[in-house]
Amino acid sequence: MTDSGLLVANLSVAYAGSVTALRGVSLRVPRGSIVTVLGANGAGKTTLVRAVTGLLFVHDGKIREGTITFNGKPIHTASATAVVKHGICQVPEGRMLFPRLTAEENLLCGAATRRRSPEIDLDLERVYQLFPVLGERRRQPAGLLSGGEQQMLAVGRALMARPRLLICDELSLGLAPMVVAELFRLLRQLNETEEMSILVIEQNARVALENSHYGYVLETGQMVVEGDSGTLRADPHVQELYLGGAGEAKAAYQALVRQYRNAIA
Amino acid sequence: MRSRLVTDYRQDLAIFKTRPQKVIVAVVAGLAVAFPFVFSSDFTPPLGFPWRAWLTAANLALIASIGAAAFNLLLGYTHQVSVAHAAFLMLGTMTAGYLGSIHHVSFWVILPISLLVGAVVGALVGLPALRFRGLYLLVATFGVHFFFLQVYKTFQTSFFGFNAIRFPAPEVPVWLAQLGVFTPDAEGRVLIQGDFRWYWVLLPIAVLSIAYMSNVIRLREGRAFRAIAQHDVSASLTGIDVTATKLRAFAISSAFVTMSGVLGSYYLRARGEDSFPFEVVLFYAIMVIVGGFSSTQGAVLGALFFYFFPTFFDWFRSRAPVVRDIKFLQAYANEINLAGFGILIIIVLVFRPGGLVGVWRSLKGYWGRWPFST
Amino acid sequence: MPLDKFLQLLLSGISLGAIYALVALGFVLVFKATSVLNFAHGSFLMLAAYLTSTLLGSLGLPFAVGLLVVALSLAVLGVVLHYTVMQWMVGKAFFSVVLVTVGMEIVIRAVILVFWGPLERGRVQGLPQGTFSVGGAVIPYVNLIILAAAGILVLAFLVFFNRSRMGLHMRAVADNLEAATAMGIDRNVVYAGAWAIGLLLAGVGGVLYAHFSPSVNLGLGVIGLRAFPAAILGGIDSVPGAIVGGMIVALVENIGAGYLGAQWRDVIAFGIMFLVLLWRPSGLFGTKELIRV
Ligand SMILES: Nc1ncnc2c1ncn2[C@@H]1O[C@H](COP(=O)(O)OP(=O)(O)OP(=O)(O)O)[C@@H](O)[C@H]1O
Ligand SMILES: [Mg+2]
Repeated sequence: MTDSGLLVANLSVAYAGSVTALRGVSLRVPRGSIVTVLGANGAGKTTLVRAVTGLLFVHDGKIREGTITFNGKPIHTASATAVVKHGICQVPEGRMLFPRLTAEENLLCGAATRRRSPEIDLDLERVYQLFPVLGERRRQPAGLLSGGEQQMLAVGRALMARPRLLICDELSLGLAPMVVAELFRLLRQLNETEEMSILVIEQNARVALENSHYGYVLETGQMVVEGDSGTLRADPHVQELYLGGAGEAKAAYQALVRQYRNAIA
Repeated sequence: MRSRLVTDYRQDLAIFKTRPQKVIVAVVAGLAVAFPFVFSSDFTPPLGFPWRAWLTAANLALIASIGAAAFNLLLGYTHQVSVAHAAFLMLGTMTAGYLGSIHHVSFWVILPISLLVGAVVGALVGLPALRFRGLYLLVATFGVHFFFLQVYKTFQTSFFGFNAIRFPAPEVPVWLAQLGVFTPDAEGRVLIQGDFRWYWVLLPIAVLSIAYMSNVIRLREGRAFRAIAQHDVSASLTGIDVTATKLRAFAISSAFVTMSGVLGSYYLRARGEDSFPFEVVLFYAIMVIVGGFSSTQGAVLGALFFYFFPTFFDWFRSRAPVVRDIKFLQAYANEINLAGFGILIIIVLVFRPGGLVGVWRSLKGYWGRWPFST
Repeated sequence: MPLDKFLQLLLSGISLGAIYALVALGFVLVFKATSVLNFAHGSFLMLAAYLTSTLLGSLGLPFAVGLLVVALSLAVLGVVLHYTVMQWMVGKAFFSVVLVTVGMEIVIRAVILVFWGPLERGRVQGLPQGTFSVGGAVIPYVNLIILAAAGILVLAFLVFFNRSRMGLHMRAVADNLEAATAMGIDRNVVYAGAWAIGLLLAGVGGVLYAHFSPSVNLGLGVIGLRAFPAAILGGIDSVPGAIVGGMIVALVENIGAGYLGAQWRDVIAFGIMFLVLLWRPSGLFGTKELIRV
């Protein structure tokens, strides 16, 4: 066991002094791996992200207990700025772009903690290569981009921080399957070519487990299952709750879909 | 905290809900009655504490508490931000000046008339609130202030020349005067003069006005107010007549501010155009926010704070040992008083953004839970 | 000649408008970046005007040097105020924060009284005092210098705001605070920067106004209040709105007061704002729903 990567140990978080959102959560994102955290609405996934990235204070939340370390350094008391400087950047839930800034300005904000240098311009070009659409729309306000383009912009913005750990909160939300597949392919590519660790928070369990090495399941503030992504995919509990059921239930569902299609045709 | 379960609607509407609350009210009432007797006595406290000045401060605070409660009704409960407060004080002064000083109408008749005038003009001033919101409304009512100031100046110069408007001392109503408790002056009249008498006039008026306003807030009207404060479009969907409710809030608030303007004019005896700088509005904002936003008690506490603190601070600066020897503080007495007040406001708000009422509530909570409080 | 008078009022209105634009710009910047409605803005301008009357008037510093000194002092004051006071009010109830600025204004007024006393001081006359005439209107050189100085500063501000890294961070914080924090932008640095620049603009406004107004007195805070109609008329969260708004308010006010009498200045300034608001309830360039109180 090395201490490189992200290590969350026994983390408890409460909002507004009383609403407990996480209870004794532990998690590990080893360096160079893709780890996913699954969970239904309100399970506490975003809270976990906020705790790691130092954003709890924005929502009047506090870490009650537990520690978070990144490459051996404790970060649970660090400011959001310090966390980014440590090399952790996120693609926040709901994208959280700067709607009135242009696409390019959004990207430059991603490099906010970096020293001014020509490398930033190179990284900008790299993002435009990864997402050519963004290059075409660089002068447009981010608020006017389409949903998919906005998500690409959010990913690009996080990449501009040159993160060693990228956290994506519900990347797939509201996007067409094609776009989701595209984004995940990119994440794997970044993971393989640049050794970037990635923490993927998802409700779309199928995509998440197909594209990760290891997975956790969070339920009402507690971790309930963890394991290799392949193992989790075969787990009946996970299948039933997060993969739309198996066997009979799935068949019945597909029959229903077929029936509906015929009816509207 | 001792838990209190409400089991029927009547309990919920009760004014004083718990035993301790009743006790507190009784104690406050007792203090309010004893106050003027104590502070008008010929007692010389140590260190030259200005004994009688407290009675003056109390009277000013009583007048201001009406205005502060009215300000709070509009701002704290309907969230309509209006800074036309001083404009209605001017309206009160003009009403009193025109009727009382020129036409010699009795003070007691002017009071209800000023309520009426204030309500009508208030509803008119409230009209822009139907179109502007938030900050835009706030600044639009800035304009109302400066417009009234101009009207006031014109009024004063055309009826009173360049002098301030002077107000006669009001008389005690005949039936009261005949009770025999008062000694009439040489002409057989009983005038309301001096802090002691004024206190007894202002206290009941303030209590009645504030009770009326808290009642408005507590009952159906108040729920409508709070509904628009949250979101006026949704409020209209629940069947609340938003236009009428907003205008009513403006009318009620303005009526009482106007009346407090009349009281202030008679109490201070003279008012001129420099009595109404824009800061007056800010002073009322200080009372409402430092006292505690969205709370009538807060507004009253704020008014008391606003008048008592400077009296206290002035005494502290000029008489307290060690402090009185600092030359700088004595050379710039007024400036230091001003700065002390400003700094205190900042300190209160930095440490207690909920205002004085918040302090009161946490104390109450602490003692309510005692000995288990942490 | 009625046309001459109009031209005269128009031209002096433009110089006044340049000052108003500066003042409104500082006010809007602080509001936009930190969401604080700064009631003390006028007193900062007043403080700068008093400093000007001492540094440039009594001590006779050259205009450019004095301008720099006063502007930088106010910028430093802005940073200090943020870290000593306003920092603790971040995220607190809107009106509580507003009142803290009212408290600051009271304190500044007291400070001015201590150092300069209640008596008014004469106009600062460090600049060339001559005049020239254009088509029948007499224009003091001072007005031209004021216009030029204000114009340069507005341009410099726009470049800073739209092109610099700090400007970008300010716009990001104004647009989405949480996202900016998530990207590692330190909001305290941005807020301190906004206060510094807001006060710097008010400071320059004060220096210029001390050369423009007949006297430096405790009533100058009212010019700061002009930031309100100017900013509101333009749309309170809009930078171009502040510039246009300041110009419009000054022109209408100056021309209106020229014909109706000086006592109508305040009423006209707020009246024009009122009319614009009736037509567009969120100003010329503003965002619709601003605060939920
Ligand atoms: N700002 C807040 N204040 C109080 N409680 C909050 C706050 N944010 C979240 N919570 C509570 O914390 C719990 C976890 O919320 P969280 O947003 O972390 O869930 P999530 O797993 O991200 O859900 P979703 O899939 O809907 O995004 C929920 O019960 C929620 O009500
Ligand atoms: Mg979430």
